[in-house]
Amino acid sequence: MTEGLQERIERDLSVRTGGPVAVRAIERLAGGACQELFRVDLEISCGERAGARRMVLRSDAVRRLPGSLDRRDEYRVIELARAAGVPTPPARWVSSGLVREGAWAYFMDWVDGEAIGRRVVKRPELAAARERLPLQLASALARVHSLSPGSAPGLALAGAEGEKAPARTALDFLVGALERLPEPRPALELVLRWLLDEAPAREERTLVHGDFRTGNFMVGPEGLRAVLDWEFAHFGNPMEDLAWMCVRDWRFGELDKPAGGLTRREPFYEAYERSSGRAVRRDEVRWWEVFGNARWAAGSILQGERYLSGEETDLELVAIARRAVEMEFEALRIAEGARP
Amino acid sequence: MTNRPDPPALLEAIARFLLEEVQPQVSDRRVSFRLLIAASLATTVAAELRSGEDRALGELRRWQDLLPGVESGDAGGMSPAERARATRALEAEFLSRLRAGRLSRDELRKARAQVRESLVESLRWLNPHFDTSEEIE
Repeated sequence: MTEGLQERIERDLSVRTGGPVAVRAIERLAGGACQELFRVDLEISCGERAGARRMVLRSDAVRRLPGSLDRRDEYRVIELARAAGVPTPPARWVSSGLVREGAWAYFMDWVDGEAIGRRVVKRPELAAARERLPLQLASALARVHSLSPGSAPGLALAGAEGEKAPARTALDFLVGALERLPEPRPALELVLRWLLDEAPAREERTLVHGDFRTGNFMVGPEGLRAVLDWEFAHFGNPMEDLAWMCVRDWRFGELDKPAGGLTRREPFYEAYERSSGRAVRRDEVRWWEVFGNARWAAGSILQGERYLSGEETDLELVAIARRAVEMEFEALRIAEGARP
Repeated sequence: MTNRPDPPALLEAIARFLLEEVQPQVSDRRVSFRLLIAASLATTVAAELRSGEDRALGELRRWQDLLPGVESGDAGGMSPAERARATRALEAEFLSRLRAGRLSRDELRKARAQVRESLVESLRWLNPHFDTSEEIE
């Protein structure tokens, strides 16, 4: 556990809430690649949050993945998303240096439930939730996409007006990833060629969650409780989120339910169209789905390189790299289907 | 020189030992999960080794078919090392044409189909449960 963390939390939150705060328990949780997470049980004596509170402390990790936000920007995104009506837990008390020198961190209200993807799509006790989730998720996504660079001028995210078109930015990202691969991958280069040839000509630009998929939602028996994990938020084409939701890996084996392993595409697209008032451009979704598979393939190969370079020793990294062939196949399969 | 049990058989024995004898005794969830990964990787590599020669020959022939004008020798008469070299050379030639935009739409379509065929072959041993049918939505 980070040395002195408990004392720093108590000191910082006592100032912010206007009265003594005690940490009753603190436990490190399995974090993402670019953040450290702690479950913290607090006893707060003053202010609107007075009482026994369980919260998550989210801090920047030492390393940062390309395209990911720091906790300060993530905190701002969450504030805006909540104001737009997206069900996501409130973020509070953002600060720097709480967990580590120079690292931004904030607290988030704890939400109980199930987030592990394969359980969300398979557990019998969540069957009723799965009926409701497609509509709830479509509505949440419509609210995310109601924000634009114009309606959130204080939000300095990648992809703002005046920058390159979203598809162009995505392609540059993929080219950069392919250049870092240790060996050429003909399949990914063919996919890149297809993406270059078929890139959408004109795109809308809204807030994009960036990792909107089964596994990043907290679910209870009644359905959606919270949209989580905003570290890849940016301004871009809203169709990117719809496509990422349908990427094969996020179906967790429920192949006949492309929308997150929960339902078929059309009911999800139609629910989104009703909620957002925006037409789902099927060709663009397909383009972004091919891109999503290619990005995930390149990313998984690079995860294996973290092991092979000696930087990390987790066996799971090499296993993930071996799965890149699945995503390569899927990207080509969708690309082929798109142009018979 | 005898080579029995051969490398794939040894890997399968390691996988079996990890799954049947080690994993049930491990209570740490993180280690237990990685034991499953280790056993699965050993099984996969065993299958990869068993399919090695046929797969390498098929791979080279697909590249030859894709680049008919490029001299690369008789695939059937090559040693495994020669076959690997010839395959890499054809792959490099293909990528150079692709990156330079020197492939027609028809050639690109044919290339995508051929590369997919190679991926399908790899998936047979990498993940035998992976559904490669066209009907998936």
